[in-house]
Amino acid sequence: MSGVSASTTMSEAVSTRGTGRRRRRRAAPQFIIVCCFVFIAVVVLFAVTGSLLAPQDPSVQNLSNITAAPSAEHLLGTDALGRDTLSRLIAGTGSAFVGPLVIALGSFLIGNLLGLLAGYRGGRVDSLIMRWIDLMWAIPSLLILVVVAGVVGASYWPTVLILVVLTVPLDARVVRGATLEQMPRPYVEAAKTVGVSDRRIMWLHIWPNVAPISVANTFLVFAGSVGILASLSFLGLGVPPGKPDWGLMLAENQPLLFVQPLACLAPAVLIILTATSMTVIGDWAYERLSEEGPR
Amino acid sequence: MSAVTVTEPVGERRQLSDRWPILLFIVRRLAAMVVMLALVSFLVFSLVHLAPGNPVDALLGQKPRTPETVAALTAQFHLDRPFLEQYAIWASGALRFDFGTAIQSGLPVMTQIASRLPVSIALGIFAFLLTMIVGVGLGILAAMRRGRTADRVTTASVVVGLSTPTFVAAILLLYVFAVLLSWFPAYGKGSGGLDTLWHLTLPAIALALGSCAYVVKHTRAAMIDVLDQDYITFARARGLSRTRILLTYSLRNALIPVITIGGVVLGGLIVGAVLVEVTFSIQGIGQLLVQSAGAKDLPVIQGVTMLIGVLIISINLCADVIYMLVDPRLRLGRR
Amino acid sequence: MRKRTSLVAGALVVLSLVISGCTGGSTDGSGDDAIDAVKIGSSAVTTLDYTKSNVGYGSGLGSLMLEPLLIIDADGELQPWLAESWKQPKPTVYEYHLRDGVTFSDGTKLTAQDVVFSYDYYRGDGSANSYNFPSSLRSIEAVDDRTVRVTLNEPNAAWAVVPARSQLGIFSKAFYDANRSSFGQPGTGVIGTGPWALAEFDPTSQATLTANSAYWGGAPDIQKVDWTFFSTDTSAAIAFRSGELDVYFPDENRAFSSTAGTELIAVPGAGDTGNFVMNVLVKPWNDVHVRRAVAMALDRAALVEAWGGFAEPADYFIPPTLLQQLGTADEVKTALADVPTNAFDLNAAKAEMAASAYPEGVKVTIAVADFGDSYSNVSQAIVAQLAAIGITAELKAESSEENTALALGADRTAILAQYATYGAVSADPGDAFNYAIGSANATKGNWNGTNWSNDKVDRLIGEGFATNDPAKRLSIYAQMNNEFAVNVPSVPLFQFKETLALSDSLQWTGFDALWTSRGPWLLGITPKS
Repeated sequence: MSGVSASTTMSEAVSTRGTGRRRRRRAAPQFIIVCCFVFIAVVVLFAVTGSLLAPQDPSVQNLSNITAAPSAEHLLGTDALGRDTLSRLIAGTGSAFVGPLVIALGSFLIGNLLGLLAGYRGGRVDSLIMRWIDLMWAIPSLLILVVVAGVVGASYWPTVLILVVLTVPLDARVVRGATLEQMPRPYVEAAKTVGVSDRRIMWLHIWPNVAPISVANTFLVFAGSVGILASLSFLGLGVPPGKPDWGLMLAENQPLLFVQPLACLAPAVLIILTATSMTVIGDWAYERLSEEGPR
Repeated sequence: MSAVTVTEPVGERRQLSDRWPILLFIVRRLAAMVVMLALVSFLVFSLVHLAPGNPVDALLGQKPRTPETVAALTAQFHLDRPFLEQYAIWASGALRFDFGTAIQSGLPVMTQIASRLPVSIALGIFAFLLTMIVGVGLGILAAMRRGRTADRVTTASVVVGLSTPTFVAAILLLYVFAVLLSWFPAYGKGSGGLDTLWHLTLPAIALALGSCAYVVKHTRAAMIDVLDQDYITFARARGLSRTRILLTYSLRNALIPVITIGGVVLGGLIVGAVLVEVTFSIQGIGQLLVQSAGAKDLPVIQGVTMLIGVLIISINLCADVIYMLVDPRLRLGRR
Repeated sequence: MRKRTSLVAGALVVLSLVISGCTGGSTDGSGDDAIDAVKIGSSAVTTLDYTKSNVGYGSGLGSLMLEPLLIIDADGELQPWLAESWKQPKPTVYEYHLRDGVTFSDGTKLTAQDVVFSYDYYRGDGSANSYNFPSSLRSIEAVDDRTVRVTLNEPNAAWAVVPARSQLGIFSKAFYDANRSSFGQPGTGVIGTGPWALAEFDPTSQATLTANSAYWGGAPDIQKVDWTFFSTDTSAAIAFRSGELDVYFPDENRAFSSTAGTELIAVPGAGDTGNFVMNVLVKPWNDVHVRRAVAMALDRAALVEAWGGFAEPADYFIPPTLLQQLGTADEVKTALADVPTNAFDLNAAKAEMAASAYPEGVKVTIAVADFGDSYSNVSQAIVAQLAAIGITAELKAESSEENTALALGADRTAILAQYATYGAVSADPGDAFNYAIGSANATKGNWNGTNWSNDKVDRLIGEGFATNDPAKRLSIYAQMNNEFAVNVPSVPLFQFKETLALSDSLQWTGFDALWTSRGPWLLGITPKS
């Protein structure tokens, strides 16, 4: 599921009866939200500094100390080439974070633009975008990526780019749905009557009302992309060998499950934690924005 | 996400159903499906064509070869023809449901798919049942116990479940239940019947995890939505028993949106199966796709992509139709 | 699970008789001596038609049903199998006389026509198996019902071992004629003379073989073979760990061993080697000093570790184990005495670098194809070791198809330097790597990825096949090794060991690197005493 479900979740969440009672469910207890923020902050820190903060050089091999158990020197042990697992995890934060960030932001920008346009203008723009969405529904993104990457032999950035292209229609659909919901509202009608330009209405009047769901969706897209990128690395279709990357580490170290399970389990846990934290923060952001939003 | 009511938001479906009867709607969607499949098949064909490497190399592997062999195989698979002609040859076969011969195995693509389909279908149905039964059950439980421990635990698990990539879940399950505890087998599809069921348990759980969380979330939201309705409050005021209210009023109404997400869930399961099959060494459709993508085995890639495309489009179509049929507002052609 | 009956008293004796080609000692293997079933695994076999895919015989599955004319014994000597004797009346003519009383598993008699038909089928245009036949082969014909004559255009010393190749198992012509379109496929399969016959074949999961009670060497003791196809070594290892697998030939040895929780049986390999290959057409590899520096900068022992063990550091292009076909270990050692080995020596390597056109170091790209974790690991280790002499290498991942397409492509400069495994395709030292050397192979469609050759090597290739005199041939191949050591188009890194995972209840005393050249190899596996 991963990305597919994450993206659809939001589209489902665009209620046809948004004016209805707002259900109160605190997204998560306060301290969990704080934990998630702290965790993501640490991830961002490592993603920015790269291997600078790693205890050891993540690519230095020590072939006389392979698959070593955790010790004071190697807190999480070493892998099949004697490299420090902890340092590789830290160095791998970059590819685990930057790709999803680009995907989330890219599809946020393009998706909002297209979604607003489709919802507001309707007509040809709308049906074109809907056809694109239908196409994406027919063949889900992971399958396209498996074929493309398997055939072309993908590397990191092309994969990220394809994912942006694949995610945009899902984002656009969410924004379009939310926009359609705003269209019959009196304020839109009022703005039109007093002669506010379409562009102003779209961006200054409608968009702020669409923003909560769109921003929250971006967090979900991020969480989903973490999973998809890791899945591709796991299938050997993502980053080239040798690069520290969580998904790749999972794949490379899977044979070590019986000797040095930490080398394989640690990246697995990090992938789950990152995606979960982003989802929780997304939930939280949605609640905050829709409470404070100009509804 | 926050617990907002769940319904299919796509405006177009409504408009269509308003204007046309359901049958016309289905016909139109089926026509669109054919166009879409043609588009997808051409896309995949071009992609594979443009990519480096060729299937004859993949077939002959890392072995010496004679020019005669290469020439004969190239001709056999029409690889010496211009691109558009190759596509035309494939398409004319596909129209007659003849998807050609797999380059790697020399078997008809249909035979190869048919031999792998049963295990994939078994896995899919298993996971789907798990998803729906466990998902709806937990969703109702959480809604009924709103705000209490059971609800909190469920809601927290939903967030983690939604955020766990299928392959990570697969590896963790494999490690804990097949490796550490040895409760379940770790690979393959078993020898049929109960043995297969036993072999598919872990893969099905891994596959169902994400979609199950998704269903829990939606069931809970829909259920809470219904429980807040005035007619439930009224029923309670009338002194009807909890069970009666649950069965006659809440469940029926809450399940409508849940039924319709069944389509999305099934679609997600088909995709997730690729990774699960690879991790658990189940020789199903997903693994066939990964293998043939690696070997540039175009006839198989095309065959599998078409199959999955047809499946997902039909599932979505079915979900829409069911949605129209069960939602009285739509059935009566009103908003 | 498996019921293991008491061990076979005379099995070993029977086996040694069978292996030495003696038909006299045929015994009845059924009854108390029988083993119910053995569980074997391999990667997926999609078809048993060897012209369609060359995966089938590689796994060892085909050899249990289809037998070759000859086999190679533990000493590397040719021994009779389906052919009870053979002679070479002229340097270009070989005649094989078939054993009497051999029947296919459907009861029909083996004739020379079956052999001729099988060989012609394998070498036909479009056959994935045709590379096994030298281009100098003129004709294969049946002289009478039991005699096959092979005629070459010119003498070729490498032909002698061709009939012992596991790829060239003889099948029933009548069966083929009756099942032209589905031959080798699931539902039809193949019919051979082997000790086991195909009962069930499903390329997606498994094959089942049952004992051929009318086998010419006596009914086999193993009544049933359950052959499972695995998609990865890891899943096979897990199956082995849980006792669902008895026999497996792993690729990712160390990982398999630790996951399966078993010690692998490892014996010296036949001649497959791991090499660092440099394309001499492009910079900086066109500089012989750089190539020599690389050779001396690579620490073979450490690279063996990176590969995952189960290999021996290698010093020569054609490994001495293969050369021992032509002489004793001592003779080979003497012949190679003057050949430099470019042993690991960082100082000497740096000196060579300083003498090259790149004394300040150089940036390069090294390809790594997706052939598995070991490939990836050893490539990463090579990158790390090259850094020590100022060569900054970046790895470029290629799909195996892209890699093959580049290696065989018309643009010879597009081939990147890379770690590559050279598989010895023949037991003959001259023929083993012949596909990867010489200027004739540095062309489109051929495997000389270094694109290096010189007049001397090209001449030595021809001379090596033109004579049958072992001493002369040994000297020729020693000279060839010297050319490779001096010019270093590729660096021999290690020679693989042959590995086997075998369940504790079984033993295989005759297991060695040539197991695939031994006909139905499973005859060698017996219950442990």
